[in-house]
Amino acid sequence: MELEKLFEKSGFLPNEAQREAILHKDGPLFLTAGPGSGKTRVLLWRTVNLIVFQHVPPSEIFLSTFTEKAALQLRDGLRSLLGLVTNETGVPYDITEMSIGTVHSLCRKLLIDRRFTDNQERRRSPILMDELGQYFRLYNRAYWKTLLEAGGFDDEEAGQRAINAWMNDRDSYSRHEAVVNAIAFFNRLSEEDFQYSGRDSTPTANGEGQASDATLAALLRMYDRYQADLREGGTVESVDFSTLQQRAYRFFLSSEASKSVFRHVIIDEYQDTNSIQEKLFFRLAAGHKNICVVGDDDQALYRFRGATVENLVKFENRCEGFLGCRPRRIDLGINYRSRKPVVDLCARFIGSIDWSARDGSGVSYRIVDKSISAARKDPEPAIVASGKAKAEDVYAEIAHFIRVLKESGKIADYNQVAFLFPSMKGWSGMNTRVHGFMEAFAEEGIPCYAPRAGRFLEVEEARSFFGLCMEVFGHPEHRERGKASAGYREFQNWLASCEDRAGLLKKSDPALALFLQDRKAEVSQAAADYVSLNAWCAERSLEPGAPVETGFPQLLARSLKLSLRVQKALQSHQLNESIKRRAVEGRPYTIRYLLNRVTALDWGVLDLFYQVGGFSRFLEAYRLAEKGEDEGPICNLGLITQYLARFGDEYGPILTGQVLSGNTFVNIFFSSYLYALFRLGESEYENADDPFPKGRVPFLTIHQAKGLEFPVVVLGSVYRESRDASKIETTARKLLGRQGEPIDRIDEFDTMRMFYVALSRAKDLLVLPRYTHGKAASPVFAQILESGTILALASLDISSIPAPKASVDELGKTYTYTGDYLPYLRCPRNYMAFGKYGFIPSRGQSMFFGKLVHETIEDLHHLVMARSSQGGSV
Amino acid sequence: MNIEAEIRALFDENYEFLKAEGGDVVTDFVREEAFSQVLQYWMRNRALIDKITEAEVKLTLPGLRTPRKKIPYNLEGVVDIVREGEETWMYDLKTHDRAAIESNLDAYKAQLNIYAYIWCGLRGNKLDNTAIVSTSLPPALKGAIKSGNPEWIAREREAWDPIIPLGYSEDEIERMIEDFGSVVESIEDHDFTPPPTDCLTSKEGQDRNIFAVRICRNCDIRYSCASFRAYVKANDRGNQGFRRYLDDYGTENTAEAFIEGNLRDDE
Repeated sequence: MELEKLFEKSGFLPNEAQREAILHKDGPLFLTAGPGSGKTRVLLWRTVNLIVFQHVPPSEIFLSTFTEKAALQLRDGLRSLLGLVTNETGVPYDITEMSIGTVHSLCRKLLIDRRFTDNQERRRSPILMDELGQYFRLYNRAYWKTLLEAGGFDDEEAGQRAINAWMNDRDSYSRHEAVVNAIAFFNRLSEEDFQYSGRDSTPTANGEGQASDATLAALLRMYDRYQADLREGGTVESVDFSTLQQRAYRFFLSSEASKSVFRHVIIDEYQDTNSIQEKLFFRLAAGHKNICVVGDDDQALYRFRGATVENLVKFENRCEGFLGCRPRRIDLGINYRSRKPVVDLCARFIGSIDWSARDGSGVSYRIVDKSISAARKDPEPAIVASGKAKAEDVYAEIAHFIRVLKESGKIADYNQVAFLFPSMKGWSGMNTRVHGFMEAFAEEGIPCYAPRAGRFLEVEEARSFFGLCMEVFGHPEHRERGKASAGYREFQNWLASCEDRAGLLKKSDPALALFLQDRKAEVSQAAADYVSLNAWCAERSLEPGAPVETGFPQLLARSLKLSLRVQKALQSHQLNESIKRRAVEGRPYTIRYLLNRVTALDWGVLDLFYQVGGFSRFLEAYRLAEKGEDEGPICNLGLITQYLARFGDEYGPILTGQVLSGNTFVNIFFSSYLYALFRLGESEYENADDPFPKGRVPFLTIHQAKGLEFPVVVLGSVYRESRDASKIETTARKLLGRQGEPIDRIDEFDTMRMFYVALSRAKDLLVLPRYTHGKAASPVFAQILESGTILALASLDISSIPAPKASVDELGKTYTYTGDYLPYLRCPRNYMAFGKYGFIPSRGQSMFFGKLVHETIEDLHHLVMARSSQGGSV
Repeated sequence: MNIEAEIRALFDENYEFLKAEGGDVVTDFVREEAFSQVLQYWMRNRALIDKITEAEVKLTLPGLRTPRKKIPYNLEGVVDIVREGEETWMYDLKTHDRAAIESNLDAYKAQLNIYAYIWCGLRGNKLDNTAIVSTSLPPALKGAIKSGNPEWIAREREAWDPIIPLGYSEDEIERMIEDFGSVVESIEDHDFTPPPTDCLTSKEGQDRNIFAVRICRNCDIRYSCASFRAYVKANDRGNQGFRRYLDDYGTENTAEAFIEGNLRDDE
């Protein structure tokens, strides 16, 4: 069996450069890959070559991708190519043990990989906080105060003002803003592998640079405290995404084996890697020196998340520095995606500014001498612009054109057209261009899908449910104009709209009104019981922290007039047995605990959510999903359960009489938790598997469109606000002595790269808007649009557009017995909610039990195996 | 450190980890029940555990297609233990009790047979048999543990037979994979209709409870389920209607466990 024969069998005809890259097997490899140049295919085939013809065991290949979805596609692609080989040769291949994934998932995996440690003992992977988890950890008022104090801020508001002024150059006392700012800064420090050198000395990173101002010094102390708390706070170590990478890197440094576990280290989308990732990759490749990076500096998009495109641009030098040898460079420069005019425009666009250093040193900030040329040679026009008009007319003209495309059969489905925007959000709420196009679409009767355009909390399902919550628990106090920030005023409007919703629902469904009334009564009864219990104890000077003695609950039950429910709870056999046992063990319950325990409701907000699901407002959502008619509403319901479960994780899922009396619960749930979600602007549910529902035109940010392609692409806006380099960027330069693109050119470079990505998504047709007013076009676009070379949309001969090809997804998903088959057989509807749409069950105890037993038994197996492999016995 | 103490340490570490991960937490009482399950598992199955050669083996069967629509998919699974010796066996652990497993034997048999098929066919290994290990303790052993009498415990432990052999043959593999594929097809087709109402009153195998109690009562979305609502309506003798069943959070014990497990000590 030869590779050539395999190419032939699978219908792949590699070009010269692709073939060279696929066959490369020893030493570092530097692949520059322009848009549409077939890099995924090259990666796939190169891996096949390594496994099948170079006999590299899959477990010794490390392949890092930018998203989980890309990893999944590579994995499935490899399986089918290797399956092809097996069919021919009968030799089976198993890539289950191969390390394919995002850097984050691979870090988690490798932290517990037994190959990195000598003694084979199991290591514990730290608990990973996602972005929202990290936010709530810091946003927690008590914790945030300790951080501020560590920074030397005794006054919260002053601290927040200082941080916000330092970061955004404007006066704001908002805790939310300060937390978001602190997190962005902390994450950057972790990604730079910053080591704080102590309270009293000058902060330095690797001995370079120093802090020059008081707020910076305070933030560094806060960072130090935060890191220490991650390591030592609580019984189990936890990490955020950035710290995870740092932990993994430090772990690799401590393990000599880490240098040679992998024979091949392959990294995709290398232009969007950050500085800790670079160190980590080179460490893993140190032994065999087989590092292969693939990327396109012109498509670098993630500076705002700490990525440094220099990793790619300077890869040849870095390689020399880290490994002591220069990589082989191969340019993949033939674009198979787009029609020739699109490819030409892209090339002209990216070349229209000067990328070289202004000091005449000859340094270029872009990889030089690479080019991109089109494989498709058809000469028809592929770029059109709307008439030059005021915005409303432009929206209308383009929307109408999309309908014509569909009706003339030039697109098979609306999801073959993508509208791309630099940002979907505007100063307050939705971006005006997005909004304008949506209205024009509605006018034409074209449905669209814009998951990042709005807040999740604004969707109907969320407003209905949270409105009903207010019916049960009451609503937060209204803050007057002078006392509420602009953000909070907006939130209050949202609360009011939820209330209106709930009012209507109650009116139209009397059974629901009755149900809410019952729940409300329980809530106030629990609060009242707590108040009388508490007062009784206070009168007798019993401290909340005093120990509960045996028989005390019965005394309370006799002495007070309480609800039947609390009476029963006080006399519960289980409770009184625990009290006895704890007294004997010398760790008695406190009075505070007892009062909470007996007044606690036996339901939480998640239970409430599932119960109201039984009323007419929500029944339809379930019905539509059961029949597979529409999955939009059920996805939203699933997301609500996730937010409610997170609330339980952050604040405890139990509703006690204490939190229900007074305004405690209402304040925590609405004014703190939901307000934070509201301000973060968490967006709607996006399905990672099938991102674009059929029958709708997707409205996407350019970032979302990374790596994708569409027959027709419309740029909704050709303008990007220019902005100064972020404070984090300038600070990182000063503090860490980083070199890089000149601060004053970052904005220009980033704008070019972002629009380059947008332009290069189009296969057959690219549509540009020509606005007359407002933020009409960035200079570079104005120049192109006014050059007279772009055809007017009105003069486009629609028959010149090629017929649509339905895209077939031939990569199957992966299913399991225990996760899919068995649960589906038990109940398909239950599987739908909990298996497919991510619902969180309200009671997780039996799951906890099962996991605890199973994981401990697994550990036991490994322990016994490790012992016997060392020749010992147990 | 002796092995019991090491198991305790592993167990406590896992408990803390799961607790820190979020979600609901079990009560102290239930935690000790879980520990006793692990400990008894070790004591009863020492001989088997000593012979384990591989654990947590990931297996994949790629490139499959569903029977009717030919939708591509892959099948993936993890086998808990493989033991080699005079014979090679493959085991899967289940925390359910023996009765629950026996009432669902065909599905488990298919699961292990397909795993075995991958193990032998794709990996080229040998295999003699497959089995399920039920880690749930039988009532008699639980009773003995409660008494604290070591001899009685030892006797009941010996009487406990946690291993349910399922055999292995390739004869039915094709049908089993097809069966799996038809479920995949239903999922891909978005067919999520609940079981019909009369199924809710049915009993399965040796289970004492009907489906509505065994499965539905633990299902959060029962309130919005057409089948369950019809069942409630048909069985609502006191005519209390919707309001009463909305109050049903399970037995009093589970309600108390929910509060006790999740209410922090310092509250």
